[in-house]
Amino acid sequence: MRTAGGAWAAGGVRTAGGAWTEGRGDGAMIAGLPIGTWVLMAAGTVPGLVLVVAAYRVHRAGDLGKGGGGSDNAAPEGRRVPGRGPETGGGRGPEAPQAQRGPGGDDG
Amino acid sequence: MGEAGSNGAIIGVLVSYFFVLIAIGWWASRESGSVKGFYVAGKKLPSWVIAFSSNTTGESGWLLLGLTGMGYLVGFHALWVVLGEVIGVALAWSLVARPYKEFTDRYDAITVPDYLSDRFADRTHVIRFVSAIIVFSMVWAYTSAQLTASGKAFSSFLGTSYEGGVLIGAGVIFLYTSIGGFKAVAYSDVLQGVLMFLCLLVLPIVGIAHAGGWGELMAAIGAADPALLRPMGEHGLTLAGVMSAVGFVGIGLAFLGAPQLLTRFMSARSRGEILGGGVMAVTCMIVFDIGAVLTGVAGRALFPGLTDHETILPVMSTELFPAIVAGVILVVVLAAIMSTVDSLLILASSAVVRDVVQKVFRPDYPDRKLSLIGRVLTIVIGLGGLAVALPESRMLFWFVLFAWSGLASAFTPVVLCSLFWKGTTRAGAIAGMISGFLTAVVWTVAVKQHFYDLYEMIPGFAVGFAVTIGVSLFTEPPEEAGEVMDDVRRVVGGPWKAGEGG
Repeated sequence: MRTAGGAWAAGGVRTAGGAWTEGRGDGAMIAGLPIGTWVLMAAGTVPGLVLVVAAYRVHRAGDLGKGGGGSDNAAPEGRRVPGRGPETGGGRGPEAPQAQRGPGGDDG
Repeated sequence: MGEAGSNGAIIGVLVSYFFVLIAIGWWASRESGSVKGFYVAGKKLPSWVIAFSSNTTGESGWLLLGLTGMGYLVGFHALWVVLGEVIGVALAWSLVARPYKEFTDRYDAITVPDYLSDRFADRTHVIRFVSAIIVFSMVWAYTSAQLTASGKAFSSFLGTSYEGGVLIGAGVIFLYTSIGGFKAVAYSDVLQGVLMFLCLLVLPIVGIAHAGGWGELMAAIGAADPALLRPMGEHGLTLAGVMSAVGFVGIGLAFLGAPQLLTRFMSARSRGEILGGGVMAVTCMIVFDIGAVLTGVAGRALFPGLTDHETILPVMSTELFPAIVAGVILVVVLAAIMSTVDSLLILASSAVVRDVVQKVFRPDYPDRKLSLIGRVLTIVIGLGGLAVALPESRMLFWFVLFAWSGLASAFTPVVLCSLFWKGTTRAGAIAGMISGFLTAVVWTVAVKQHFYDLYEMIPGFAVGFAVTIGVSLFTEPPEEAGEVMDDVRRVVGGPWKAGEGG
């Protein structure tokens, strides 16, 4: 509610459940905050958590399972990129010639 | 307790903390005798270390002084920063980290330019040189601003001179970073991250309690300015309000590809560590960001009328807590600063030692000699930042955000394209890096003030992506890149599809 002086008073009515139900001209309020602010807070927290938990569930078998992701400092020999030597091999780089690519490439 | 007693308690906490950091540096020095050991801790870090290290590196002193100040100034509108950062961190850990780890292991890469150079078959080393220049210039700016924050923190809490605060902070960082390398940086980040986590959990609770509880706090804030409670702030749902929200969200985009953060994924012991680290990192980031915004909001009700809103955290800690706790909070502020500066110094040092000295000019140098050069260079780069910070105390957090966006605009679009699009080419990558970086700089200097103060990361990303893709469409990608990408996908899977592992 607004006071005669134009300032926003400590408005709102606390319900039996403790929630604030009356606003200050911002539409519906919950616990003294506009619903939009609560939605923003939820949007800033829930999707991120859902995303990483979902990734954990999808990939745990492959990455945490037997041999998953490797347990050493680099990919196993069979998965190393040809032409890439150990870290001290300066001046390394692919020796293979550049191939012609088809039109449009690959969108990956 | 008198002022002398208070300062004595704060200094006691501070000295203990510095000793712990130096001990970590000494302990980690056993791993730092080689280039790989010095710059990525031998790629042996567990999930909880990379999670905390990534978050504390991303969240500098800006989190504790800047974001709390933003909460003080604009109220709950600052929650847009939370949205951007949490989504950015979640996407980085769930989509980017695993393929990036797999690629860098295959290429045996230990820096981001190292990875890009191999991914795009850059035999001319242009990517390495361009990367080194961008990293160097931005790290210099970033480090200077963080050391400035160190000076301000010391003078706010202890009443020391600004210059003394800068020198003390810099001295400790240089010491443990140059001794222990990346391993010291990562493990000290854990300590620093735990302190930041606890601080941002406790401070808002104490602030809300001092305001008389949640309801009273909201009433007080609403009475001060009802716009502080609204998601769109003072602008409301206008173009200016939307631009402001988009800019805040944009801050979090950097988590997808800033090089100082990608290094954490590279240093993981395995992909399995990344999987667990993601859940920890996001949870931790939520507490960091929500805690900082609520601290600022509570501070607005408790201490209205501050001339510098970025001092709200020091003000709250000295006014609401006993001296010893205020000392701990000073340590937390310094921890946030140090955890970023140490990572930046290592990043810039690696850009020179690994990407230029070892890979271009002196591949014959033994590992031990290169790691020694790395240690010396870490200090030299830090001294460069110190030279700027000492005479200039007016550097504000916009400088941090500028350096953050400069690094991210240069690398993130290119890294994302390199991970997910086979058609990305060497020319596209180089053009994308340069254009993204220059756009962020030019936007900040010449355009920003005429365009609703839109944060430079947004145009930097847009131009970086457009140029990378555009130039790539007219040039040829390296032949083997397609095969490698197919195999990486087979092994790591997609966002919703498990890989075959291996």
